[in-house]
Amino acid sequence: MKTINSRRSFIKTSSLISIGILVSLIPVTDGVAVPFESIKISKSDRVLYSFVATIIPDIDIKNRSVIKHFYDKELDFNKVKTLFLLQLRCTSKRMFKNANFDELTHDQRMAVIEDGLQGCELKSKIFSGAIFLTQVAIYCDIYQENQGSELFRYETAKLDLINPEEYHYARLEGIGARSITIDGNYN
Amino acid sequence: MESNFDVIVIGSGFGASPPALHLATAGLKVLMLEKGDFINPQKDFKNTQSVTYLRKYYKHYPGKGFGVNVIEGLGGGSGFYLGISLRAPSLVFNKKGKDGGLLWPKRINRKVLDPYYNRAEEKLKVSQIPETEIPKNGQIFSLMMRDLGYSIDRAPLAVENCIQCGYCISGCKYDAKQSLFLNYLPEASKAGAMIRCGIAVDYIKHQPKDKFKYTVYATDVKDQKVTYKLKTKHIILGAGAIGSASILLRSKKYLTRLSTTLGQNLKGNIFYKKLAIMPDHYPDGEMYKGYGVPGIVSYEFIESHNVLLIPYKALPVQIMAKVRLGARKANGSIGYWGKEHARLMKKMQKRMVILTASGYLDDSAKLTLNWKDEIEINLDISEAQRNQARNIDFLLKGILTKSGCTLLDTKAVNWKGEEYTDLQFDSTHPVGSCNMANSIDNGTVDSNGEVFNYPGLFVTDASCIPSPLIVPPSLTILAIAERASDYIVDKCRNHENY
Repeated sequence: MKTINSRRSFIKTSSLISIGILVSLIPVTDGVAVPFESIKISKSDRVLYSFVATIIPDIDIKNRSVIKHFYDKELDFNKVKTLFLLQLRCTSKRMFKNANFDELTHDQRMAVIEDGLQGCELKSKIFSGAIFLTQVAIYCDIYQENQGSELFRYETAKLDLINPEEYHYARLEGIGARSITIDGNYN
Repeated sequence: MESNFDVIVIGSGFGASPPALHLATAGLKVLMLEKGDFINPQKDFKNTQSVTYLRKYYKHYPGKGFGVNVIEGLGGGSGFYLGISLRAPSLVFNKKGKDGGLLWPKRINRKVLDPYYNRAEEKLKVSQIPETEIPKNGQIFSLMMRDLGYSIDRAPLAVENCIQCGYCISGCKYDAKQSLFLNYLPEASKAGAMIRCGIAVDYIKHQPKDKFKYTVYATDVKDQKVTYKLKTKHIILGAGAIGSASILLRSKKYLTRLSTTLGQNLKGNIFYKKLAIMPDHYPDGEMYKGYGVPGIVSYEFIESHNVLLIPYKALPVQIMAKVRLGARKANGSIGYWGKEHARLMKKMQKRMVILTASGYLDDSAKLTLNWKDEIEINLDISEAQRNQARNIDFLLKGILTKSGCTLLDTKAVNWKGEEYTDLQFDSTHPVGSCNMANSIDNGTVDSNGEVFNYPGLFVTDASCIPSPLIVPPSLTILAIAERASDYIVDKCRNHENY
């Protein structure tokens, strides 16, 4: 509840500030479109943010690194990104009365993605590839080496020395199963 | 670069480093060629899951039925292994092939290798993990096994003064994990071995009547216009199960009397993993901190199923890049993305258990080169192997469900995130592509690692190991390379024209 409330308050504040300027960025929660900040953001990035927020609903869209994987030239997906965006656009318009993907509600966006996954072999591959890549990039924090992930309490490179209590239970020493080797090697 | 050497060692990992050290110490002029980049652990290694970073070192060969992962860079796999250092169990040396004959040469068994294991352990400072350092996931696994009446053992690790950051897989920048950068390689360099990185060996020629019997043709990896022609009396191939076999395959038109078995016996440890959520009566685990391995293994099913059980500890990238994790939705269906999936991922750190069985691949995959000299791997999975896979899957499910865990739905995916449509094995411990045997009919090299029909040409890495070891192979590769080094040094000292 805390997350939803804080998100609501964030959205409320940002929408008041941007009212009249960002009419298309409809605020609130799960049910509706992704609330973008009043930052300069391209149309295609808006679609990509919306896609990521559908795959991982708790994601912090203020963090620009969450769509970085779509721009990583080292990754093969970069070659099909334009096609992927086109498919999201066309499917949204076909399914929801000419609406853009980033204007759809969460459930509508889910329906568009499901449609992509159920599509022809190429379309399905592109959609499953985009989901896979998004999950790897975000759950693994591959672009935030020095920050870690608040979402998964993952500290990454901030680590210097770990408190033993974090990785070991002193109270469980000596109560495990029996051993069958002398030195850990099986004969 | 000079062009005449006593010995050229190709590769710089577990199979290459002992010969480089011992031959240089014996006073021979040694050149070590490594295809990958030079690595300074403190400077180059990072605590990261960056795909770009990991891809620089981790190379994947996607084969049909059997995919192989290897490391490319100075020190080979030693920079990125988990430090778990086990001796191969005796039963492995008694394994038979499909023709009923023993896979290992008569002269090699656990007893023969034990003195060499001792040497390797001393170099890597291997010791059993103290009870006070066992990561939480290892402790919980130990409780689960106790509750089921099964045994566990504390694993020997090659680690000293570990800070428990959990980043073993991206290279240890704290000099805690005992990689070859801390022992064999600097000692070999001090003894006079020249180490050159970024040079890929193309092929080898043999001129038996010359003083320098072999010529190595190589290319600079970063500037393909720079090529090398290097003459040598001996060659040690230590480029790993993929690297060494592909060099020999490319050299086949010049080394016409190589065994026809070259590349035909690629095998490896195969990993079966089951993911589950622990029941409430077990305390929280910790997936990300502490040693890269939970320090506990179980030999309980090594005789019956030929598996070593290991409770896995994984960074998210190790899970996400390999399996699609399914979460149950409110309507009962399984979803691989969205709200429920994100909720499940939040449980990964403390409540998820990953039970792994390191198993034995009985079938042999074939490693060949296509018309572009690219590596191709093919494995026709036999019905017996499929049955074995089913049995092990059943075993893992049984252990987890009897412990009260809730099994998670997982689908194995390839590196593009596509689900496999058929059974697909993957190994980070490939062996056997230039397997040792009693005769040229059954293998590429003899029990000393010397290539049949080519005196002075050796293979001392994982590729000469004729069967999967079930346990991680690092210590056994070192032991075999140590043993081969003794043989080569002895021959060089006592046979003038060798």
